[in-house]
Amino acid sequence: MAPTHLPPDSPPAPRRDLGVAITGLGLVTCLGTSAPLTWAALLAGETGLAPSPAGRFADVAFARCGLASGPATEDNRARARALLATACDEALAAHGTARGAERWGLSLGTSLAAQASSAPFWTQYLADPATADYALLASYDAELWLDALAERFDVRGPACAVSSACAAGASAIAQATQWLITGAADRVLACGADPVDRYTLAGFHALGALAKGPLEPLSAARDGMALSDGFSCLVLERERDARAAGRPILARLAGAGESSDAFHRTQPDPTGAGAALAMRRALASANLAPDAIDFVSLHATATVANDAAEVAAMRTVFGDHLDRLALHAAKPALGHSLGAAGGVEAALCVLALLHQVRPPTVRSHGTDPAFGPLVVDDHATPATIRHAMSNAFGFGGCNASLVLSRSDA
Amino acid sequence: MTPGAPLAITGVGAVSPVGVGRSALEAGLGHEAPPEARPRPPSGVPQPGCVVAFVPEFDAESHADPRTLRKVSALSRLATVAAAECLAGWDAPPARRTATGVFLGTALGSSGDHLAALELLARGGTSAMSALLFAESVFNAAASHVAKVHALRGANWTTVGGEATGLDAVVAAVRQLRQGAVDAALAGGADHYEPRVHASLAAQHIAGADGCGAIGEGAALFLLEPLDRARREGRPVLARLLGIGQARRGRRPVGPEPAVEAMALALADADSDALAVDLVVTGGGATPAGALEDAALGQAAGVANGHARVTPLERWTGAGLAGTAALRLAVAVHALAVGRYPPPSPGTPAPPGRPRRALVLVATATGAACAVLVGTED
Repeated sequence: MAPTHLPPDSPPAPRRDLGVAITGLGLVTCLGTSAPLTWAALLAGETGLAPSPAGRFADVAFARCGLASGPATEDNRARARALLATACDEALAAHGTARGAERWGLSLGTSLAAQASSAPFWTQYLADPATADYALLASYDAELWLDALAERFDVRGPACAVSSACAAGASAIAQATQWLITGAADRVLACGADPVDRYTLAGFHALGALAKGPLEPLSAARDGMALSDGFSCLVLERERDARAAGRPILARLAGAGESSDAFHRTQPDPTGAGAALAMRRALASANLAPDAIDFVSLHATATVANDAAEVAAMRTVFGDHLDRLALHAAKPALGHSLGAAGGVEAALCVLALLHQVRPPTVRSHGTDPAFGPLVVDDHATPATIRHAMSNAFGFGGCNASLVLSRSDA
Repeated sequence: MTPGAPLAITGVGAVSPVGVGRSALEAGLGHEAPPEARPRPPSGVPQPGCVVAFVPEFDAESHADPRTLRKVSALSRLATVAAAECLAGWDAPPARRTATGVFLGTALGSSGDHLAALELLARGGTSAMSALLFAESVFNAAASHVAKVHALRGANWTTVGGEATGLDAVVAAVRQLRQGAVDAALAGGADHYEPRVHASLAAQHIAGADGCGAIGEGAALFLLEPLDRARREGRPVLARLLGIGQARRGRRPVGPEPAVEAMALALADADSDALAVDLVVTGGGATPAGALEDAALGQAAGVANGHARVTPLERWTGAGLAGTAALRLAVAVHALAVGRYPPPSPGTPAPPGRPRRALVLVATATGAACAVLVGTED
């Protein structure tokens, strides 16, 4: 995926931001098993959400969800590992397999962290606890997941999984950035990963958070979210190293900011104060004013609480600029991939910057008038995008905001 | 905070198999190892061969505000009690709390709540699912709860994986502080034992087979902040955080190389000579991880030549989980703060002298390693 707009031999402009470059990208989503497939379907206005396949999630079959094409297996952990490896393989395609003397790191964002419903175990357990095979109780082996990835990709630097709920994928990118800036690693696989699982479907259903039909983010008709598979991988490295080596830069990671609402175990702070704090911190680390942002990938789960708090936060940070700022809600097309969402949607921002196109938001209803005028494209729109923001807000009030810039910005 | 400024540890909170509180931890090390404890799983749960070092029953409400302990998981309770001790006397203004992050490592998370919710789901279907259990079962519930209790609005991370996560979280906090992303940090590790998870890991031959040593539960949290500010404000400097190091090897077989590298990185980060280290705290014990740590120490100058005293903590607190990894750092920090070495083994007197520079090491059989170097204020 070569950048199409970068002038040849352009020297980097002096800048005072994080100085991190994205030089590889891989995606596996319900829209496609690669970044080009996902992007093409997204621009075409497609959605990967559909009624659950018969028998797949037992009595949660009423829930719409987005499943990625992948190995047919009841072992959701094995499936997740395979799909994440696919995303990593795609991201590394431009880097080759030789690692040389560089220290590679692995930063994984996930909320489930390889937990799974373990239906076969519970079937045995309910029949006779004394004879249940505990090897089928699939849990708490996030370390094995990291281990398998570290072996596959010869990781010798830090390899850590961060689980900040639905902000995890973005937090993993922030963690990778810190490793690069502090010299703990030279190149990092920053990944997001979470498969759809009966446990999370049932859990969010118990919370009343699942939508009854298609997602309608930012609209007065919004009634909840839909879960989906999500697997992303970004290769991050110091920008100066990428330029010195002549590696194509897909986009630049200019800023990262995080915060905690410190408010409630599941509900966001309705004032949006925590989310606004994360966005401001991201802008500060990017050394950018709010009106320098041309495009924002919202978290926009389409729940009543999240969207209201998010818009409130956006108003706080962007003020009048919000009336002109192009916004995108990916989840009607891609679903909510929980811990992976922050990584998946950051990858979409990279693609938007690379191709200078704003993807459409798939929805039937317009914006809630209570939110004021918001710019939300309903079709793919060519645009000049120099700086983009990607937001992810999670359970427990974990907030993460990333600022990504065009490679020559 | 000025990026790159020296860091201090100004608070420690500990809940361990030898007692609740930092002082209880030191007192506990002065005794023989706690009686070997076998897990008492619910009827029908297979009992793995290794022992478990449980946190003894204690009145959590005498250690933390009772309102902060209601309707939360066992893991959140451990973390909340540790945080209460750690932050006692920390009279930070709102602006400081807004810029303080929470970084918690855990291997098992709120596994008890997770399995309870799964059992509800299995028995009664979706309609039986508990929203509260589900919300408490997510890995970041404890860290988010602590942030809410103390109004800490910086980054909130939960590092999940194996035992090393108890120190990985501290390392993550150090990096955030050095970058200026947070102004102060509450960091450490916590784990609450869950017999069915243990049975699962044993059945998969991941952990818990015979000869696996003792698995320990517990929690330790540390308050990290700029050294200069701590001194200006008269905060107690229990130790200085001098250096950090992490390494991983995915190739098999796993040898001591990641641990050797992690120690070297921590020393280089601190610009410290290995011979300046006079105390090393590891897990130790007759486990594959303990053997890796011992092998790594055998290659480390200062330790290999007998200059540094080594305290393997597994005999008192168990090992294998994030909480026990963090407890190693608690032992090291406390030793520096009070000017006394911990004993090298149960029933053995502590050596004379005063430690000044302590290295804490965690190595895992999956190829992860983390090292933290701490020193006295002077």
